[in-house]
Amino acid sequence: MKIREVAFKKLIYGSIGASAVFLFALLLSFTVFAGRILDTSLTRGMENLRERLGADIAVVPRGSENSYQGIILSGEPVECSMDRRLEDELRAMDGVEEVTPVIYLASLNASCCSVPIQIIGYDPETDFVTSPWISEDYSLRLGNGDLIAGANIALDGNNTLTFFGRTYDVRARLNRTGTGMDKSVYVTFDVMELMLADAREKGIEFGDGSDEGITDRYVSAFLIRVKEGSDAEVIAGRISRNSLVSVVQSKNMLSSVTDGIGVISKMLTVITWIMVIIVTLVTAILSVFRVNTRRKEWAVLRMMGASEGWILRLILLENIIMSGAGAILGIILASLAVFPFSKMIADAIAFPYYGPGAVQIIIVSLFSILITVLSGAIPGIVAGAKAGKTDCYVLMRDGEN
Amino acid sequence: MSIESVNITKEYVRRGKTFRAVDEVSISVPKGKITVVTGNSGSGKSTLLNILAGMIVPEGGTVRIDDTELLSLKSRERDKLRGKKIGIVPQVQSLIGGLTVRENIDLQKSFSGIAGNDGEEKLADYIKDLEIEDLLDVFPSSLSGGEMKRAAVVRAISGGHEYIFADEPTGELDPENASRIMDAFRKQADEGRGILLITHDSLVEERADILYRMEKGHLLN
Repeated sequence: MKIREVAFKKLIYGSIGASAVFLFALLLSFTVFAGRILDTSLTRGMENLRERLGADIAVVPRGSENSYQGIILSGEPVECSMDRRLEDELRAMDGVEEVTPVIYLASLNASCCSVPIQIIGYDPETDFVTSPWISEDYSLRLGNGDLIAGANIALDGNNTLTFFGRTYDVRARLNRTGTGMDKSVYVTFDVMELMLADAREKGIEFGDGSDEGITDRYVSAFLIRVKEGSDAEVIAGRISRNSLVSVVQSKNMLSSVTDGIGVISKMLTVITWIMVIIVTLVTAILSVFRVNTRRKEWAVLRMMGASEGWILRLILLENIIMSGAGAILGIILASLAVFPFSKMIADAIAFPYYGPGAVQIIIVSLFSILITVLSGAIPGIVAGAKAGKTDCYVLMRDGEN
Repeated sequence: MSIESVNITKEYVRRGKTFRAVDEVSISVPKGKITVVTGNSGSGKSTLLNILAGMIVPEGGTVRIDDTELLSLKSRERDKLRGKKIGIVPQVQSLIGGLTVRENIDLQKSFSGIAGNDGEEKLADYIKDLEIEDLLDVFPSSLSGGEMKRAAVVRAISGGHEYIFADEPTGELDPENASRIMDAFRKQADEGRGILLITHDSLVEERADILYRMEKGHLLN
């Protein structure tokens, strides 16, 4: 009879102690897996944000800096406008390489619009932020009447979207980035001009509310790329002297996001290691308890000819089986908790969130199983060594004569 | 060939007082014979059995199993030698819970290095003699005291050991079952094995080839 058969049979007819080892392993595996998946998703979301940001400085109407960050990080629909004449002034500043205007328009939660989302208009003539990755990743340039939809935008059956009563063809759908871009649609200024006119009819005022050529006079923000070797901070400081605008430096925004993600990441790591310590200690206590309650069994096994090593291996195997089973179930439950609700989690934490790929999920699963099995195996070794030393005299004392 | 002990002494401390459970005992357990040790409770019989099986190390004396000096071996080597040479039926219920009677027997066979169906025919005879055929796939928790004892005897025999030690093998058994067990031991002795029985039972004493009595740690012929 092989030792693994004995271990399985002992567990099938096992004790409360064995079930508790299983439950704690499940808890640990759930925590480690869910924690690592969240951490990985935040890190990937951050990487996507860094890749897509493009500009060094964003100039927005005074007081709109938080709205701008909301658009970029979580796609919160906002709209704001300012005078476009500032563009020439910015372009003429020392150290400025490129300037491009953008318009942010929030669609309505009404029958005229398919979805209430952020519409981002860009100027194809000067754009250096949106067009490059659209053409690079999707090999297309947007024409009049076209738009590109973010990954989280729900389309109707005809692959169209309706905004302010007008229907547009969706030329492409962006890959998921885990940032606010997933909840936005992209249009050129020509299309934005149409939309602003339609929006005005629905009571939404942009700029001075005039009809013709409004995108020539008003925009929501200017995105600036500074020259190589120039200090974005100095340029931002100079722009800030204008009392009508606020300046958001990408570096600072990334750094605040990185800090936020860093805090969450640290919390997840601390929770994981606290769980590892707690579960290892509890498993150690349970293992010692199980070993003590089975002293007669060890004595019988020694009497039958089992070596200390055989008994140690039996207990180790029992712990590994229970921890391993708990780890696998923990991963399954954590997957059911994390993956179907990733959108909800992303909305709740308001940070870029991009779920891991299959390879990363496999790596995180293996890591969770390893940590969980080790937390069961190490106490098993200690308890097994103690059990192996059980004196057969235990049997005699039970029935001494 | 036999198990021989010379002047073995084992002391215990109980409530701060040292007493000798086994006091300079010399005994021989030859192969082909049933050796029986009787005595009152606390006389040191079980301690003697445990010393001869290498499960307790005495303070003094020697124990030789065939050609091997038992007490000169390390703990692991003693375990190995015992597993190979001696099958034991302890006084208490000793079947491993969670394993059926058959699995208990298989486990003993694997500890004794008996592969597959080796010795199955003889084992089948003992299973029949001790009437446990219907109990082979039953878990110990469903067995009566007498059934457990009979199953434990078969398990000990299944190891094909050269010696069988049993502590109160007929305890909790009715005369008919006790007689069956003694028949099994006799058959084992006739096959050349050395049998050592510790008992209170007069039936066991009657079937002894060599009878010893223990009193307060001393062995009397």
